[in-house]
Amino acid sequence: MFAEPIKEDLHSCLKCAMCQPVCPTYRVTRMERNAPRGRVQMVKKYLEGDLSLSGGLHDALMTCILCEACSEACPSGVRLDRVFENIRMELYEKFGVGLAKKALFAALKHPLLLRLGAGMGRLGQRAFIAPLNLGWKMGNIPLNRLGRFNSTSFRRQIGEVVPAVGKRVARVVYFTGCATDLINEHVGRAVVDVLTRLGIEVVIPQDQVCCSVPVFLSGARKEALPNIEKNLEVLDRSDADAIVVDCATCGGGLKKHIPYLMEDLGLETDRARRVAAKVRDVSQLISEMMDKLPLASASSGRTVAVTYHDPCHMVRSMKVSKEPRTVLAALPDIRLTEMEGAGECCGGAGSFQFEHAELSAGVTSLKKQNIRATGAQLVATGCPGCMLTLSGNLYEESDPLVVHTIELVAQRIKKE
Amino acid sequence: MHESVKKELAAIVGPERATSRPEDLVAYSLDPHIEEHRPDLVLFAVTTEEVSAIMKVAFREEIPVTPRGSGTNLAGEVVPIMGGIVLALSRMDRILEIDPRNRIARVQPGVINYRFQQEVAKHGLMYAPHPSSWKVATIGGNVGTNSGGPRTLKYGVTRDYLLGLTAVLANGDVLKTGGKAIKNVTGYDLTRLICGSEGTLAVVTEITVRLIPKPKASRTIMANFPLLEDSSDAVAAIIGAGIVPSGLELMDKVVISAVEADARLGLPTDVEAILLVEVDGDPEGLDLQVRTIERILMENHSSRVLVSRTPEEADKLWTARRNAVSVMARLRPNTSLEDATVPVSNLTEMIRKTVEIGRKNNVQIGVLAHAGDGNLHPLVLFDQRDKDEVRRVEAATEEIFREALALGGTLSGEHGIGRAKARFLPMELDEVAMEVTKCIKKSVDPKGILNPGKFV
Ligand SMILES: Cc1cc2nc3c(=O)[nH]c(=O)nc-3n(C[C@H](O)[C@H](O)[C@H](O)COP(=O)(O)OP(=O)(O)OC[C@H]3O[C@@H](n4cnc5c(N)ncnc54)[C@H](O)[C@@H]3O)c2cc1C
Ligand code: SF4
Ligand code: SF4
Repeated sequence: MFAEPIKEDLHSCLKCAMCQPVCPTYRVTRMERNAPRGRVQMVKKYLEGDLSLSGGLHDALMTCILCEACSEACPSGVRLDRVFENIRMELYEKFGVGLAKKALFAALKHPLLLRLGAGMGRLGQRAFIAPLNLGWKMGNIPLNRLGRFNSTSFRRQIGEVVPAVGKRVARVVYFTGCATDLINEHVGRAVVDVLTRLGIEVVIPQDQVCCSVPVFLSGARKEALPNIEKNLEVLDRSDADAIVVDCATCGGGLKKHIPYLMEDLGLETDRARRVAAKVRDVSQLISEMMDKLPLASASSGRTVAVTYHDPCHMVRSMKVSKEPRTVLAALPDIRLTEMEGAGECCGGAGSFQFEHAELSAGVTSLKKQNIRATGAQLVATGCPGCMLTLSGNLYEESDPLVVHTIELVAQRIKKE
Repeated sequence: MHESVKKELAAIVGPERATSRPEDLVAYSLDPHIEEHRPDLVLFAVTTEEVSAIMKVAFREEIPVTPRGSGTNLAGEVVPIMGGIVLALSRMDRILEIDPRNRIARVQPGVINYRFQQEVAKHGLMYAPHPSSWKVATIGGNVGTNSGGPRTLKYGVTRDYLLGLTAVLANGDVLKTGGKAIKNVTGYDLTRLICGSEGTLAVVTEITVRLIPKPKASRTIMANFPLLEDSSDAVAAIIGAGIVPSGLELMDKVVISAVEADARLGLPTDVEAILLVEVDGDPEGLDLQVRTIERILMENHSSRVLVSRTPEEADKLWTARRNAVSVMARLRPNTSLEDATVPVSNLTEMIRKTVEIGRKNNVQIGVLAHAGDGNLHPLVLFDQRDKDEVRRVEAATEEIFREALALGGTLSGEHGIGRAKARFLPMELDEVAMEVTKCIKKSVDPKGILNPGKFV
């Protein structure tokens, strides 16, 4: 079950601990069980028969955020991310997941169920205003900061094809992700606005489904296959110039983790690689066409300080970090100020922040400090997951607002 | 270990900071050394009182205790070879005081070297001991191993910056040594005795160190040498000229090729050695020093001398040097980083011998060196699963040690003895020295419970 070529990586671990200082969970607990070296060595000993697939192993490996910082830091080239993804599959098959996660997986697999869930969530939010304001929390996030559901699916609102404004210079497929489809319609509108103004025709396949990254990174790799196959079919059938994402997790999944998963499971990877080669973050497209962007003129004296947070799946899975900064720096009325450790995890990691609230809070608190130290009024980022975590935790009055990079671009182009 | 004793010990720190889960025992059975052994219990102490209470029980029950920082030492020093307790100090990580006026700081042992450097830099100060592992290693571990690093030539080692320690003895007694005074000759120098003792004499719980002003500027020079001899002659000449570089590093042919294949910096692959020289200090004085060094390098037949014009250029070169170990490590599954050190005048001879030993035993070896202090880092590459190769590596390593001693050197310049070199210790220490060492150990740790199975 554990892919053979990845086992080889375990023999390359020098036990040197050079991966330790970059690990967000180790920084919080300072215990090897929460450090990459400890985790990798546990996996090695398990595969050698010296440890069993126990609760302790489960705990050590599921408290890993899969932020990929260790893989990047390892001098010996150990692909820790792939080691962890493989072992999680075995852990999942033995331990399964909790009820809440099970329900979530089921929903993510079935678009109808997902929309139904969102609809119920919306009703719930309307009906239960009171608890929202009582300071109750989900994980570390006060309920009233969880964001509201879209009134209807963004994809349905917008339709299959949005033509370019003016002369068409390119055509892209827009993979909207669940977050934009069900919660952040404003992000989706910004993507469509900006791209079409650049002369790009935007195609939004109505039959795309959840990328299922949260499902297979939890270890449920086989469960995720139907969604993966469906998306690959949808995305591969188009001859568009690029596949655009506004969500680092969808992007990282399509670009890196899905081809790896197929390879590990011994499946055909050609199609996954073809799709991966076309996947671009929206900031990448824009940065290449900056000169064509109809930017509004600067209004003197109203500059806002913006700091940029690199989502793990953007900076490491997709290897994109320059482009969003290039775009932000070029916008009128914006001053980009770097925070310390911009590429460090925010501690959210999807359901991690609810399942391991204490550990997550430790990681997030470092991020908060670094953000606050910049004095910025806005934090821009490129992942709805990070947006949720950051906005959910930055709730002091003096704290900056959290936005998607593309929203800032959309606000700063000339009105038609 | 009796369950009741385990319970008693766990109660001292509380259930959150005590564990005997098999997974944790595995994670604390190892460091970069090849041998591994599980402890029976891992305890994370955060105060001197906790450490003292733990030691009292361990003393009564005669349980081995292995103090541990970040577990980056390269000699198996924190492998609990006789089981017992791993006493992790990683969570005892507060910087207690930085006193810029007296240029003194007080820290707990679990503070990471790099973090400490960042903090003192805010006051325009520097903590000189700076091992290449500074982003990971703890100050407590630096004290345990008496760490050096690339800057040792000019700035010395950990021992040179220690003013005082709080340390818990094997029986739980708390020993305070030294103080805040820069000069102190009262009594035996217990501070420095504990420094470098690899956790065999006491558990250090507080460290007072001396800080120095941070140098204002630095410059880096790279020189290519078609002949190895010339490079070490140049090293001797630079030092002979009264210049004390803050870094003086050598890479041999094997290492250069590997680094170049990886980073494509345009390093020449047809030379026998590259020297990297760094000088630091006031910007005014630096130019003169750089010119003198350039001249000496040319006089010693360097085929090309390159002075970095910007800090970025210098950084590229030093990054390449720091990455050298990793780049080499990628070539084969396992790497052993040796540490034999000889008087500078014998550096060339030692490098030649090392290469020869590699060839003779059919083992891949590349040589890096902190050339200025004659500290070689032969990188021995192998695959742990190939038993025959492991045997050849062991033979080669032993020959390297013998050769270093024959050339008036030592087994270890900075990595320590631990498990890795314990059996070679009598090769270097004569009978009298071994006897005194054992006497000291016996008098402070009569039951031999502190980090047993290592060098004493
Ligand atoms: C890539 C790499 C590069 C390195 N470069 C250098 C270098 O340039 N120079 C150099 O000198 N070393 C170097 N080292 C070796 C190592 O990093 C140093 O020896 C470091 O000081 C060890 O610190 P640690 O916190 O990891 O200690 P550990 O490995 O945990 O412990 C080291 C020793 O100290 C003892 N100890 C730890 N804490 C305490 C305490 N509180 N009280 C009493 N004893 C204690 C332990 O018992 C053990 O014997 C390198 C290692 C690696 C992996
Ligand atoms: S950095 Fe790489 S080789 Fe070193 S301990 Fe971590 S995984 Fe192992
Ligand atoms: S992926 Fe991130 S959280 Fe997990 S071990 Fe690596 S650095 Fe730590």
